[in-house]
Amino acid sequence: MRVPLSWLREYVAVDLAPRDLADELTMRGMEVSSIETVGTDWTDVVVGRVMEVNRHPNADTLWLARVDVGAAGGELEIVCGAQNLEVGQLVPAALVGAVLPGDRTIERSKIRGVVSNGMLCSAIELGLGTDADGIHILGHGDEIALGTPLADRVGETVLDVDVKPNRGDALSMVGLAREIAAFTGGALTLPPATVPEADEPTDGHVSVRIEAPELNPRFAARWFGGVSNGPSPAWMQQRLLAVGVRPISAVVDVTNYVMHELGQPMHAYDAGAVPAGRIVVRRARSGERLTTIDHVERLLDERMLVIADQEGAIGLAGIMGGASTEVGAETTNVILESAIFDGPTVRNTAQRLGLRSEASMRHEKGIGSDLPRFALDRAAGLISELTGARAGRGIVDNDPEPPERARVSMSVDRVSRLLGIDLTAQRVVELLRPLGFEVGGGPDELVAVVPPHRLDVTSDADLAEEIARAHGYERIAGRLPSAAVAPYRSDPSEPRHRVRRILAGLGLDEMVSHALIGRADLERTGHDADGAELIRLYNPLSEDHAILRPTLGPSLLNGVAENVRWRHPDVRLFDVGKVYWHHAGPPTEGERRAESAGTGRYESWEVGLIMAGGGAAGFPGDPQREVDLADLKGIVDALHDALGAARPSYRAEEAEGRHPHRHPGRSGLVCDASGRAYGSLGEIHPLVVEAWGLSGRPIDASIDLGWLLGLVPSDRRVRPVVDAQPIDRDLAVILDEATPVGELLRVARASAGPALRELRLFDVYRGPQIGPGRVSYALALRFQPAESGDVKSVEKALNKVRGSLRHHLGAELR
Amino acid sequence: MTISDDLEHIGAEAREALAAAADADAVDRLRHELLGRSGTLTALLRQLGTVPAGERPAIGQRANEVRRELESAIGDRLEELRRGDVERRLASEAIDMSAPGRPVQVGHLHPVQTLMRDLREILHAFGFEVFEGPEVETEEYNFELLNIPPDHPARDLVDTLYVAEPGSVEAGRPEPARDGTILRTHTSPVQVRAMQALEAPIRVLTPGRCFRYEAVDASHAFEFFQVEGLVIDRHTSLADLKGMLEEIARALYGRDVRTRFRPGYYPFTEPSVAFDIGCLVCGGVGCPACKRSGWMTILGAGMVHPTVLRDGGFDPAEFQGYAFGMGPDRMTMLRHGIGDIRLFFSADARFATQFAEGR
Repeated sequence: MRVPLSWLREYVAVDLAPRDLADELTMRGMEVSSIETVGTDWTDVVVGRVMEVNRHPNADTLWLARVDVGAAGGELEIVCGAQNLEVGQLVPAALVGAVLPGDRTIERSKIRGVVSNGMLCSAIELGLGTDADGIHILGHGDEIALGTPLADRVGETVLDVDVKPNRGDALSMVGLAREIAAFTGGALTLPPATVPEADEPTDGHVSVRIEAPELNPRFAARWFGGVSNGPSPAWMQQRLLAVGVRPISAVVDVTNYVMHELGQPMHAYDAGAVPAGRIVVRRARSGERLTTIDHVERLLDERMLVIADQEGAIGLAGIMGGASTEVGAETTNVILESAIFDGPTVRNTAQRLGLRSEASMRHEKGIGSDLPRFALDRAAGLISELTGARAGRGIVDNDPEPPERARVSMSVDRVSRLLGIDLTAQRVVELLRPLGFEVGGGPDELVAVVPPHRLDVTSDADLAEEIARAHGYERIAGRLPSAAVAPYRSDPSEPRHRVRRILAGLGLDEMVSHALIGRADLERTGHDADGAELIRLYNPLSEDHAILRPTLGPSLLNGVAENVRWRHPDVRLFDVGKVYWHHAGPPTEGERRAESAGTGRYESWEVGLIMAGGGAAGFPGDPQREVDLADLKGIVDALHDALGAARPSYRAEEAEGRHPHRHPGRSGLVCDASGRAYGSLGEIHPLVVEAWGLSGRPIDASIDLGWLLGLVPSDRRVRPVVDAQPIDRDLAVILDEATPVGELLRVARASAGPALRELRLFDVYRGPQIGPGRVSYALALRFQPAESGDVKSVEKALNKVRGSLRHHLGAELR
Repeated sequence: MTISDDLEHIGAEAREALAAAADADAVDRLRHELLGRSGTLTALLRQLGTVPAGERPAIGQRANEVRRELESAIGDRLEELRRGDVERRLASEAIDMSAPGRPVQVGHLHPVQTLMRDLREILHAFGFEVFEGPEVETEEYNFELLNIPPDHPARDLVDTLYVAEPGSVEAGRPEPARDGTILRTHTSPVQVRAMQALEAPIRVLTPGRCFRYEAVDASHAFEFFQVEGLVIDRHTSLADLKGMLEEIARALYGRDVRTRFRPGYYPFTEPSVAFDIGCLVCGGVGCPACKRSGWMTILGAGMVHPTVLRDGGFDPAEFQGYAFGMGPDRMTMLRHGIGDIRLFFSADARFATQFAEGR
């Protein structure tokens, strides 16, 4: 909320400097987010007096004024197009070199052959109003010294106050002044609310029938005749502009002025357009239409509340009036509404119609029961004064009796315990009374009677906050935590941090990518973008971030693409992030392990890896090569080693369910000892590479993090370190080309017995010596016998390996 | 000439030849000529039998002496030559020691994740344990159970990303999911989940990713991280909260950091708190970074609202506690002087590789 200090000061005396007042408000919970000074965008605009006005010799509509700007430059000849200049007026004069709002610079110029040494300014040119027709007259007497900078005279300091949603009562000049008065001990001065009433009774012109009392607890109205609805006076326009409201006409400006002054939204109807002045407050009918004053036709339904006449809706309650009853320059009779509408209904309607306004916002936050009537009288007084209208006698009000004030009980001891400060009943009374609470009872149980505007105070916790604010948050002594701690639980995020550090140690850079991706990302990655398992947003910010990613693939490719774009083609990245999917029906085994709020949407942590470009960074003499799948497998193996999990085995993916973004002949699964896949990896499909604007053969992997961590044994027993030399043996094995080498390693490892320590593939040969369709592999095995020189047991183990390879894989051994 | 003279002669000649031997091979040849099966000294020793018996012991003894001396001299000479060889080789092998090393690629950790780990470690020291919950949440947990009923103005504080009803987007008529599924706008729903899952005393941290309908610019992102803390027991007060927040600020920004503890507003806390530190950019004088106030808000907090306590299964007459929430993205920006939050979601190596494990 924008708060011009001169306006605020009408209701409370504040002798603090703006900065100090801002700090005080902030420390009391009314955070001041900025301090702005109107007039700081004027330079060299000063007050001058019109000494002489003559016709421009060469133009019928222009004038030649002699203006005295005193110390700022004496008498100046200035050409002027406005028709309201008179000798003796005090006017704003922009000197040569002056800068006006919008960075408009004034230069010495020749207008129709006459030199103009500056410019006289209208309100609109200064940002002080909407009036563009005449020079902004500042006065006629000696009240301002000539040459005074204009900012000193009509400049204004405006605080931008962030009033919290629960403090609708402070959303006005008086509301904020009330807070300041409570904390500074100053007095609150309310504006006058006296109405000179005419003889004709209001209820002869207006009647109100409330058909939905649950949505409209209060409706007060007044009637005015003989309205002359011209522009509002300059002082009112200036204040409205300072708070960000465009002046329209006297009647409309008064409703806006009083809303900002007191916090009560109001609406004025052209009484001539409301047959017999009969107003009905009811729910809208489904399919009913209303053209609002912004000339947009709105389609309504039963969840909305309208103000209606006999024929149909004439306004959206608490939000915006209808065009048919809009007050204009021709309006002579006016009905003025000051009401309380149900906040959630106003909010819901405004949101669905996209019509949030200053008025609807105040209704949403709630209006105190004593406000509508006071505000109505205040506005009536202003309308009478400014438009010469006569106000009808009396008020039409459905509920003139003030409701019982809310009573909240509290325990002094309990509040002391909650706040950690020592309180007594007397102290509580002293703290709450300035805020308008009447406090009784004691010594421990107190009852506070809540002032009608404080709709937010309903429980002892709310009172505790008021006590803390009044006591001063800055005066609470901070305490260090005491020793009572909760029982130990392991930290679910810790293993993720461990994985991050291991991967960084292995030379990969961490990236954090968006969980929300776009349809195009999926399509570029060869992924079905219409799958029922995708979680889509109802209100995405853009199509690029409309779907929760079902796979890390697009995120990883995007990471590479981003680096390639900046000429950094050698990329090794990892991302520890979640993937998301939807599955109606009972959860699968994997889904039971995944995280979920129980809505059929699941999320699960994955580790994504991607590498592209050069392997070894160029070093003199070293061969340059592109990273390949073996490099990636090496990283995956090393991650397992570092975690202490058994290394995985790799096998080709079945055609069914293959990851579509990978090369079909170069994509595989990461499997545990039982053969269950918990990850996948491979070379990116060449068409996907192309679609992402990449080149070469990038490779990626994704691994189910939960499963991986489950492979880490919870306890680790050491094998005895024996006093015996290990024994090394090599095996040469010839296999059919169709047999995966992974099978060779798996069978060899499984059959070699517990003494096997290392198994390494060190040569692969294809060629004429062994014939077509066959491959020769050389394996190095290292055994650790329990006793030195126990060659016999090693030979036995080797024979078992040979036997298994022959039996299971049809291997030929050499 | 006597055997005795021959003996001394052979010894003297051998010593000269040894000194002149240029390499190990020459020394070996010499050893063979002297001490081999048909070497000159060996032959001489064989003639000892011809020496009269009376002289034999003295000459024999001398002969053995000469033999030992020569063997030792040969050994010394070999060692001398080997050392010379090594020195020559070393001298020939000198390289340019200013040449760079062969690069070993070291990876870099994401600064926001690192800050979250640091927060975890700081708060761990005060007994906080991590508790996690889903990112795809329900309106019930994200709002209702946190004292934010539907159509409540507090919902203005956040703009929510709603999950669509399955099939509705594909059919071209998007509607919000009927079961109220949304992307969580804060990690506060995890507080309710923690209260429902755990017994008092509770002291948990809830780090995680959050989502908001927010137009992206240098300081706003639609995905971001939060770390919240929650304490529930019978006596923890607003004063304890203040002490804790001051300690967190000191741990993160140094013992001398200036702090400000002031009223704030959150629907799920009462009283609510906003917590500021002296501006890290200008030191408190006022600058554009702190909107000329001299302060930067790093935390929101408050005493858990009685309604939220009840929703979490605790009787507010008996239990109380506080909650606080931090924005690690913003804190990381402050820590490293990062001007644009969008960098956190880029994989750009020019940014990512600036962060090291040692900070």
